[in-house]
Amino acid sequence: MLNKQEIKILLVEDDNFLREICTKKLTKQGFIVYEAIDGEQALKKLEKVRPDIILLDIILPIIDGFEVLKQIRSHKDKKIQKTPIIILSNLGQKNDVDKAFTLGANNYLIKAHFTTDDILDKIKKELSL
Amino acid sequence: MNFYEIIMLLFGIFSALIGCFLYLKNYKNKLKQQTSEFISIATHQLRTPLTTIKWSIKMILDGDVGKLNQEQQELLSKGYQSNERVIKLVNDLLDVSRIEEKKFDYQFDKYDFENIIDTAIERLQNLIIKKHLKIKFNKPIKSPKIYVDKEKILLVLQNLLANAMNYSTENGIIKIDIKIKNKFLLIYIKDNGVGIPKNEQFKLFSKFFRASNIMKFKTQGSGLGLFITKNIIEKHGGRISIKSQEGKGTEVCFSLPILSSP
Repeated sequence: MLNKQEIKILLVEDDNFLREICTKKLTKQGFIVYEAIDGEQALKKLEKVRPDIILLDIILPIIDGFEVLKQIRSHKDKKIQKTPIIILSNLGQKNDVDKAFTLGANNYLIKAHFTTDDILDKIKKELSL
Repeated sequence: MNFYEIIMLLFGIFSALIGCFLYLKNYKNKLKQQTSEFISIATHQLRTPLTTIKWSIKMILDGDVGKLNQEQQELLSKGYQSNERVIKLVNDLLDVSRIEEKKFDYQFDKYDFENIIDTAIERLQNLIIKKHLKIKFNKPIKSPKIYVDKEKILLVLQNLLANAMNYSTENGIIKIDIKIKNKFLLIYIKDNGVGIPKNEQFKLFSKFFRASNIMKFKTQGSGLGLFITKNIIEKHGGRISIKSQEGKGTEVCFSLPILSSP
């Protein structure tokens, strides 16, 4: 079982305030949070940080979340390839959700329907904490 | 003007009318499509600031950034609830736009209907407690499993139950009954609330309809819930009807087919 203090989360979110709130909540809970503001930054940080879990937005500058997801799931590094990914997006149509799961997302949360507490629960569930 | 010329003239007028009709139809479809696209984009853009409001207020309410006194807690809770209503309105607008675009996707599976009702009631617990309402759910001895889109039917039940609750007075009673008739599951939701004026009942399922007595009683609500509800039920092969008497209450009945496959 992983220790909360050692868990690294990569949060990929382009909205400054949402990123700030989410980071604050997760840091207070003892997680180590790394931030990326676009898809390109996310892919760079991914190799450097090697996170235990990724929170990924869909609509992102430069490279969108679907593409990031695709690149992670076909990454040459097996550990990175298998990193659990929770999609955090305000796109919530069936085709968006289906596409994310087809590309290998572990969970999909519509941001406006959940709170940071719910996100925390999903992270714990995904990492069996 | 000879007979041939008259025929040609009539033919010309007829062709022009057809042309106008096709142009207007095409224009109307384009306008409809543009409106729907606008709503889809607008709802997505609206959801982001609503999420920041929701997440930040929730963190403050949970005491993550310091302890609140009771007055602060109460004020922020009201702010949180108002924001939730706007999120619901945005969701309703998006649903209506999807319905009109015929892009409201369904995912059918086999479910125990009683469990879905229990979930819907559970999601409305805050309202039940706040208004001291009594819920009487008469479960049948054995109700069959049915093929539905669970999230859509939850939306139907939440809309109908929330209406019954919102338009009931304090200590009101809401009865839920399930019956089986001719391969259909019949669901009755009855309240003893304010009811709907008889002369307005024909508009119940129209978009943005709000009854005049309700407007005086309670001003919140988009008037989109019943439009969405009716659409979902009919997509499942069911029907919905409402009987209401102003000052006495409302009974909603909807049916869902009991199928062995969707």
